[in-house]
Amino acid sequence: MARNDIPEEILELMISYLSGNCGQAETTELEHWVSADAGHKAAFISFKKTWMMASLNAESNMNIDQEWKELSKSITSEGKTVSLAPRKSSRRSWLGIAAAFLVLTAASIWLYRSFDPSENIVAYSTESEAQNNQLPDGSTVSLNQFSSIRYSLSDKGTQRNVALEGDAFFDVKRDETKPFIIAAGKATIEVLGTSFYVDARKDAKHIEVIVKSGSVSVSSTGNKVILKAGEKARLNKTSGSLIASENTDLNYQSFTQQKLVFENTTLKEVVFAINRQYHSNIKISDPNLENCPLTATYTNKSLESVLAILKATLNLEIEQQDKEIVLTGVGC
Amino acid sequence: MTDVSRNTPMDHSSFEALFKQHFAHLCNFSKQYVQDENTAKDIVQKVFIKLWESRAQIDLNQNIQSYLFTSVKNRSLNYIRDNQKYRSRVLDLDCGEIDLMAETDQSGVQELQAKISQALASLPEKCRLVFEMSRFKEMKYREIAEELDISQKTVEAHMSKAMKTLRVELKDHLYALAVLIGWII
Repeated sequence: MARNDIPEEILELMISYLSGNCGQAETTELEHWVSADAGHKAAFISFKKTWMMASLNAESNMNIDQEWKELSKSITSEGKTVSLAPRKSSRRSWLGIAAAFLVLTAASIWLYRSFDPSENIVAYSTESEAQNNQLPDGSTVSLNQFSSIRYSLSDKGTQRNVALEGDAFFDVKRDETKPFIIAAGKATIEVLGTSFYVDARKDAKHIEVIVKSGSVSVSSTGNKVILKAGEKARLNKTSGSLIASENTDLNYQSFTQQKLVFENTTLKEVVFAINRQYHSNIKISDPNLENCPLTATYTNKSLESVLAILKATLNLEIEQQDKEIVLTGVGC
Repeated sequence: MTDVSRNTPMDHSSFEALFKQHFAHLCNFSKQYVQDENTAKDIVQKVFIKLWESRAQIDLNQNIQSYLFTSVKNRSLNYIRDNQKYRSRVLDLDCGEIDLMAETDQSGVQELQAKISQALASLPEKCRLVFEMSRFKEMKYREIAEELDISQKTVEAHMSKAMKTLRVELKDHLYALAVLIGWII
């Protein structure tokens, strides 16, 4: 590796990335450069090392004695640990949550279905209850709350077109002559016959596709990934980056079964799953809580009782603040 | 705080010494994955708590440094996996695992620190200031620009100059250490 080979703009990208100043598009650009060539990768590692070395001198800025004091507080001579400094939280009534929930369940299911004479176009929409629907081609779609789809067969009958808003689980009937194509925000999802979940909720930062069986193609503005069963793609709506990875989310299908399963799942992921399932707006106030692990199964529970159990299990405080439900606690 | 030593292989004062010796380096090591300093500190604190809890099973003759680095690495990886905090799998993970301490002995580190100080001192005042604000205080370009009343472009130019200088000054160390990357499993 010749040291002077790194182009100026790449050098700036590297510094910008390492110092936490890179946006998603720049990160992707740097990723591409680093992945393009083994020499590039070595150059980046070497550069990263220089960056890390520079902080050897910063260590004197770190107050080691203070850190040691912190640690001393949490260890005892018996070898047991006591929890780190508990945080007090103001205790406000969370009855509002119950009220919000009642309003939600009281809301009627709004569902409409419109056919054209040939049954080539159907549309479904849900409000506060998830709904299973069959499409004219024999595929099924489970729509989560506040979601809608429109299905149509293309003019020549060569394509099954679906427009999705919100999130839904699809089980597509195999028909190799008629690809099943979903438009969800900026993402285009194309399959022949397979089952998968699409999360295209308007207020989410990403569009997600999780494949249960078969394979699925996901594309967006020039990027494309092919997913197999057990894989997931994530499209960042702002930056347009499209990244495939192994799926670790156990609950993407849970709204169809009214069941949430957590196995040593971090609270952050738990909250994501609950918000998706109940279309709630729960926030974790304290980053220390985000990693607290939870193992639990909730079947046919209301949001209210899920929260009550969560509160008891992880020793949380729950308060309603405007439209948000805020979790606070001492951590784990 | 005193320890009732019951034939435990590690007493309170040797634990304290171990902590003080390695804390900063372990934080630095963790930060290549988790990026922010507080998270790194939390992770390292937890590793030491765990070490204290299981000190009866730990043989001081074993390579405790390697135990610490492996634990910090595992926890850091778990953290970024659970939080999906890594900004880039390629840049953080595939190009990760840089452990400066494993690669240099204590005297080597001092020599390195002297070199770094020298390199930083050789920079123009503003340039050094910008670099230190970014590298040591973790300030964003925008914040630095505001604080020093300069443009973000100027901040970038200072950062670039500082890093180029450091690369030149540290290049011998980079080559010498390269062969040792990846010793932690």
